[in-house]
Order: sequence, then structure tokens, then C-alpha cells
Amino acid sequence: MITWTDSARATLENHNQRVRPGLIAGGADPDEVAADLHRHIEEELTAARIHVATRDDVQRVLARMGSMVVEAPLPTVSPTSRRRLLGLFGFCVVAAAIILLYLHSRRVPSESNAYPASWFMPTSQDPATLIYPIAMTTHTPEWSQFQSGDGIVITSVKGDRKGVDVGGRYLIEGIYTLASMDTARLTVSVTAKRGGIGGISPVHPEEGTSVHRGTGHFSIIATMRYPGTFHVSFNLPGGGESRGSVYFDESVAPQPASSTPLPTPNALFTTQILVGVEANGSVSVDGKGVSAEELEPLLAKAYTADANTTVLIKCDDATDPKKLGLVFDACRQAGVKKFSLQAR
Amino acid sequence: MDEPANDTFDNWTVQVRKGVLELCILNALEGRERYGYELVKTLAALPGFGVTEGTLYPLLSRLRAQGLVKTRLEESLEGPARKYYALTSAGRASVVPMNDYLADLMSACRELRQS
Repeated sequence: MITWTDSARATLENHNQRVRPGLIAGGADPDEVAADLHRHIEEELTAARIHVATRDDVQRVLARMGSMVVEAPLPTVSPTSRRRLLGLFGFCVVAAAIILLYLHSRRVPSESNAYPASWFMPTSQDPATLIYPIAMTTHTPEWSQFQSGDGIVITSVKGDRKGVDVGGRYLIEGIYTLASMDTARLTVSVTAKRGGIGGISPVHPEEGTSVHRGTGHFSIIATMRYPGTFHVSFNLPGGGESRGSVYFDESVAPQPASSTPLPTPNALFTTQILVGVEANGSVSVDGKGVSAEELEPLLAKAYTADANTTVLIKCDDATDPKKLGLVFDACRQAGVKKFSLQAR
Repeated sequence: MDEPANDTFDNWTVQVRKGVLELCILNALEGRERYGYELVKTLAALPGFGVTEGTLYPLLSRLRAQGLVKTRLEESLEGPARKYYALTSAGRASVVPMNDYLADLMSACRELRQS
């Protein structure tokens, strides 16, 4: 049994990271090779009756083993197959060019099942025209819950028009709390509502930003490229898998800010609770000031009485994001599953 | 040999070794399975090949990915668990024509030289 020092492990890990791209390019499995290398070093040290692997031991064995370069495998294609492949490649190039020209000529999304090419074009990042406030509420579906300690709240949406329409551009601002990982991509996507392609939501690289552990503000400009609703998600840094999302409620999204009805007092503590977070950090429930310590038990009590309780958080543009994050956490810890945020 | 001839020879041997190394691995596994450390040491000691141990693990990984060799782990009392390599049926099916082809090449080369 060999005991590895931290520096020995780090030396081997650094080596593995360095050779990884070359191994992948050469058709080898880098994780398998790393495990093989680990075993090889242990064999060498066992043979030398060394029981503790140090950085020097690892460096010595690695130096003796030499470079881990592997030539990329040669393509196993016969001359006849090569001619066929070249013919097929030529056909694909011509077909792709025709399809791209066709999509490019269609500037308005149609009801066909193909995405118009314009949906994939970068959007302008000039916020000067994004002046119309859009009222909205959000929710987090059961199937897209955040990891423990994470959360996203939308504080403001402003568009280049008074509603949410296809072709409109929107400045989406909010506050995030990231606790489950060191870094994540925070992205805005559109959940399509078109017949036949519902659920497909391409993410554009410029419609996301990298965020780090902690709480902070974000602002992203996104384009509504096809009929649908926005959602904002945490994704793994390399892209792909979502780690929780807030979805805009489509029934409210197209409405101008001033027309959004506020909850009536009678609704409070039955199905909806109004939590206010002022710019100075003070918190209120139904207009009555409460301390941060009182908030969670109050929400928990309401939620215990009615599991369908929803919480509407009203905040100010100048509200301290950390304060808002605490309210957000209090909602979650109280068990409230549906809470939305409205910025003044 | 003078310097340009040396360079030519060195470049040529590199190309030949690359082409034959995979066959050497398959040949080494044709009769029996071997565990990785032993296999790598054996191949690295082949005279004239000048292959480093570091080159062989990626090559073994690639052969496994190609389905020509298979592996299994076995605990060892003497050290770390041993990873044994063996030919798959595809590997066994490949090794015979590969050897035949190389033998034909060598034979043709020799015939040209004798004539």
C-alpha cells in the first residue's frame, strides 16, 4: 500500500492535465491512461520498497517513462470509399449552402418546424433603446429546482417596446445567489411555444454571463426570437446541463408595468403573501415591518396553514442584493415553493 | 553514415516503428493475457524499438477503445491492483492477417534486394 503525499498527487494531476488534450486527440481515454499511470507509479515504488510517494518520486518515474504522446489513428478508408466520401461531402456542401441561403432569405419566423437563421444571429448589446419597463412575475417549476443555497430573482425587465413580442430585445436584470459551485454560467433562454418544436430553446453565447460563488447583480440583453417565454438559468460552466431556472409567467409577461394588479390585503396569509424589501433594507409583510429573524417563521406558519401559499416579493432597484438574497433564502427555508419578485 | 543519411534513417525507423508497434502489442497478447506493467516493461525493452513506457499506455487505451483488446482488474498481494490485457475476438481476427501482411512485405523487400 503506497501513501501519496499531497504534492505527489498534485504533480501527477498536473501531468495528467497537461497531456490530456494530446491523449484525446490520439484516440486514447485520458481517464483510463491516468489510472494506468497511477498504477504504474505504484508498481515502480513497490518494487523499490518505497511506501510513501513524494513529488520527487513521481517526477522521477514520469521522467523515466518519457513523453505520453500518441499518434492520432490513421483513417481506415479504402480508395473506393474515399472517392464515395468525397462525393458525399461535395453533395452535403451544396445542400447546406442551399439551405442556408433559403433560411437567410426568410427574415420573419414562419410556422414551419425549421428555425429561421436570424434566430441564431447575435443581438445588439446597445441598451439605449431598452426603456420600456415590463412587468412580470416568475416561478420555478418542480422539475427545475435550484441546488441548495442557489437562487435567481429578476428585479427588472426593460424592452425596446411595451410588450414581449417576437423580435423584441429586453434588458433582464436580477440578483443571483450561487452557493452550490464556484462558477456557473447564468443564461437567458426562450422556451418555445410554437407547435411541433415546443421546449427547444437555443442559448446564445452573448445571452449569458459567468457568475461566481456568492451574491451579485446581473444584467443580460436577450432577444425574443420566436414565440415563447424567457427563463433564466444556472448552467454548468462548460454549458449544457441546467442547475435550476426561473421561468417568466407568460400570462403577465406581455403586460405594461403599470397594469400589473397588486395582491389585495384579503389575499394575504391565505394564498399569497406580500413581502416588501425597501432600498434601506427594511422588510415588511403586508405593509407591517418585520425583522429578518421573524420573516422565516412567519412564512413557515403561513405555508403550514396553506401549502399553496405563494409569496410576492416587492423590492426597489436600489435594494441591497444581499438583503434580497436573505429574503429569498427565508422563503425557501420556510418551504414556500412559489415565489415571485416585482421591482418598483 | 553521414549526417543526411542518418537523418533519413532515423525518420524512416520512426515511421516503421509506428506502424509495427500496434502489431507488437497484439502479438504479445496473442498467446496469453498480460498485466499492464509487465506488458509495458516487455515492449519497452524490445531491441531497436526505442519505445518509451509513456507511449504504450495511450496506445493500449486506444486499442481497447477500438475493441481489439479487453481488460480486467485483479487485486494483487504484491502491490496495486493489476490490470490484465487480453485480445478480443476482433483482436484475434486482426492479428493473423496483420502478421501475414508484414511477412509478405518483408519477403518482397528481400526478393528485390537479392535480385
